[in-house]
Amino acid sequence: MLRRIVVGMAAGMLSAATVFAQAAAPAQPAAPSPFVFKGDGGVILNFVKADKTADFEMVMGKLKEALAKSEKPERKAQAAGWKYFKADEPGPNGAVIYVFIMDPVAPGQEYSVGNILVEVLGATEGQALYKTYSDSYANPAIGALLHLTKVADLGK
Amino acid sequence: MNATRICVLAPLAVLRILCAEPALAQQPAAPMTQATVASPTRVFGSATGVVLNFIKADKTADFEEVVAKLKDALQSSPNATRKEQAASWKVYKSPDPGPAGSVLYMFIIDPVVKGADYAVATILAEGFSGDEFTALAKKYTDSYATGQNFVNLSLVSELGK
Repeated sequence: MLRRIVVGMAAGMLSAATVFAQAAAPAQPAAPSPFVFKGDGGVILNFVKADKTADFEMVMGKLKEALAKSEKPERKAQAAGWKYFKADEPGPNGAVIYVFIMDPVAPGQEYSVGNILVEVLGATEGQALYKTYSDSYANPAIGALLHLTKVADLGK
Repeated sequence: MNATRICVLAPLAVLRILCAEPALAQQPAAPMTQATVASPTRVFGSATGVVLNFIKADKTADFEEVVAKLKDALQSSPNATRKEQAASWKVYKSPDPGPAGSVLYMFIIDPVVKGADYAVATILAEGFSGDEFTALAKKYTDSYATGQNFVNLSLVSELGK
């Protein structure tokens, strides 16, 4: 069984491979959001500080409330297929791995936690929650996205 | 929204991370001969499981053929547990390139059938025999670029419920 996912991570690789997903309001036309899944399913791996899991889960609770509160049907569709899990195996440097599984994906919808919180709860509360959320991430702060296309449903 | 420190890691880098420490993260695909299919077993200790399979780019057709046969074996099994396993076992492919040109196939098993063995080799051996099993075994093992990662997951929340 997998007991840990990664300990070492090259800083050079990170700097080369990462993009800031939720940066300041763009002055130019926005690039496509990395939080929009193009396939049938999506997975996000979140590496969270061991002493910040309560904060992370609190914000996720608020996200759940926000999705339920939203009057947009696309938010309901997102909620319906969005589960999140905690990995039994410890992550790098003692981080706790939370896994978002979106199955099915709501086509064309953005799975940005921060943007959803701000949209539904307003800028003040949404950004405060998002700060708590982002502060819970371990160093380096990573939301690792995997875009997935269904190959087989073995029961159908 | 203000700039944040949360980044999105490009898929290839994610897969490199997952492959970074093979001794920790990966197991070889289970060897498949009918004499040895009883081991090793693949039993999840959690309610949900994920398996990452890194497949050679030129062997994806072979891997998908084996997946189809796995589906046949599960569905035609007289063992009720196998049908229960099939009901919650989905197979996905990542369109993003993996390490060293491999292709990522992900098994998402939600929920896990408690105590059930998810070793593909064992299930195929139950459903097929003789030359057919041998051919499937070879295709399956030869399709792997590296090994498999098994991740045990505990549900925290369903955001829609």
